[in-house]
Amino acid sequence: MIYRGYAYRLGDDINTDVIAPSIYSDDEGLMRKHAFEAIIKDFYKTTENKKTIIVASKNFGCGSSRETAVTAIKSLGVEIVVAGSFARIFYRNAINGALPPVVFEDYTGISSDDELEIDIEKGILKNITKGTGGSFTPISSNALKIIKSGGLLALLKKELIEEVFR
Amino acid sequence: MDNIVTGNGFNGTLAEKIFSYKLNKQVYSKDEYETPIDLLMMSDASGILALKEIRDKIGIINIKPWDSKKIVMVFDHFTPPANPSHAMYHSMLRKFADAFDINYYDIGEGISHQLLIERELAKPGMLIAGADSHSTSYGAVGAMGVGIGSTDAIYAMMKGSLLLKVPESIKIVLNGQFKSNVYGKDLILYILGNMKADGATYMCTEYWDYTEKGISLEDRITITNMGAELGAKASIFSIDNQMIKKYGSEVDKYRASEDARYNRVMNFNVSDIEPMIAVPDKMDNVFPVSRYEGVKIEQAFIGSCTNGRITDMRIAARILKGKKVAKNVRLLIAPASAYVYEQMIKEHLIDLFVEAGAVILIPGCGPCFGALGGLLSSDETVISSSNRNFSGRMGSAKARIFISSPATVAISAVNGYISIPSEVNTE
Repeated sequence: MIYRGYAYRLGDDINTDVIAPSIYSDDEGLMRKHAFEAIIKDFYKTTENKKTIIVASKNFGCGSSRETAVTAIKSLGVEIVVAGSFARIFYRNAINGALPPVVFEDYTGISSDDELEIDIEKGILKNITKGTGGSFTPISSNALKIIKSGGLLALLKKELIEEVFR
Repeated sequence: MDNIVTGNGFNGTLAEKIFSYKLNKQVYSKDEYETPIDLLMMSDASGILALKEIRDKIGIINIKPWDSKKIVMVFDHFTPPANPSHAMYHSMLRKFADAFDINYYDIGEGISHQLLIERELAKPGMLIAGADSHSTSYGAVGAMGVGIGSTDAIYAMMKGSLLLKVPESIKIVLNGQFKSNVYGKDLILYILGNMKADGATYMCTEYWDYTEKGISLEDRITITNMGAELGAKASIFSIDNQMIKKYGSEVDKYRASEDARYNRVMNFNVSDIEPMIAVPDKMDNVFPVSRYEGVKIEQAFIGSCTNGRITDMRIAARILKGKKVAKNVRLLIAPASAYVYEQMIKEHLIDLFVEAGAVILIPGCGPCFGALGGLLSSDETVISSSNRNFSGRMGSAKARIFISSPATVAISAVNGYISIPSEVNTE
């Protein structure tokens, strides 16, 4: 699976309260408008105008277990997140929600607006703008199966239906 | 007496032993297994996300919980509902729980983590999946509490298991004795400042309590609760005499082997620690309270799953007795459970707090979750006994949140500015 887009660089420890403020959790439309607002003004306008790939530093998604963090990012049209490292609950939630989390050690070499191409199966990130890039540990086969199915629930539903007709 | 888990010189950590007993074979860290869980906890906040996902993506009719007796729901985040949509969430969750015979605790009964420990649903050696990041709390009683999201909760609800990696452990050895006015909260803040917010990511922090008087259960809950802030998968106190006294010698089988392998071993002498404070807007931004003494506050909050227990209330009461909350400061107090509330009434702490000018909230998460009464405006500063100081956590993204022990919160509320709880005799 190959993803293309333009990098938006974020720092360390981007937490789930910043990504998805709990006060907007009832309304996906409002959440989309307020996602990341504590650190970026009108991020939804940026992602509307440009296919965006979030490229964060370390410990992206730390804090609460809320899955609205994943749905908020997806509602912005962002389909993949790259980071130096992820907080563990967010990492699981991202895979379960079919938002591939890519751990890329050379994240500091990526700048905002760099055009990226990422192959999550081969584990290759190309920085088209800078003519650089590198490899990363490909997403596990288990996680890939979930992502390709469109999320853990889609997979679970398929299993349930198969069980009925077995 | 050898068994399949402990035979042949198995040198497991506490985490490896819990996983080995779950899987009925010897397993070591880093390997991944479909692992049976003992209990699944969902809050109203994660429960409603799960329920909506079931409704939209699977269909309620297709759901068959693996064991409704091992599923617990707690209405603690939206309590009481602040708007019709939160009221509808509770209505949907009650119907869902009733239809599948799932036990739930309704509004006002308390915060999930407090209830699971208080009602003894969490016990040593258990593997508990909690759809809330602070599920690490259960480690205070020697259980492995692992935080998960709502999709994983649906999976666990249906299968009774989760695909989990056995975590590596960090052994944290505690020696010395707390000075007066220094508590478990100050210790975990100190550790956070030292290890940083990703210091234990994917790992289990295993605390070995060799302090002179032993750390109380309440302080242990505060410490393991905030394992979430270290990124830990789980955070557990080693099986010791305190636990054996309560649960029997049976639980000793989970104690880590002397020659267990750890990612690293860290030593802290708690005697060195003074009252600590986490400064906006990261939880590893930690300093001695003295450095921020004098910062003006508009609100103070005592409560949350981190510090809303009866011991916390007693500490606050000793400081607030016969005093008044400073003018232009609101002090909000939320007991962590109905039991705590009842005990506060019996001990006349409620009268004491009300006379001091505090506002008592109902048992639950209170303003810590940022979706209920007690939120802050952009020009305000709060000192709170809760667990996160992230921008926007308690209202406006511009509000400043300082995190400290209940003692530091109480003395600051009296003075109207951040203060060190040193002048107060708390013995």
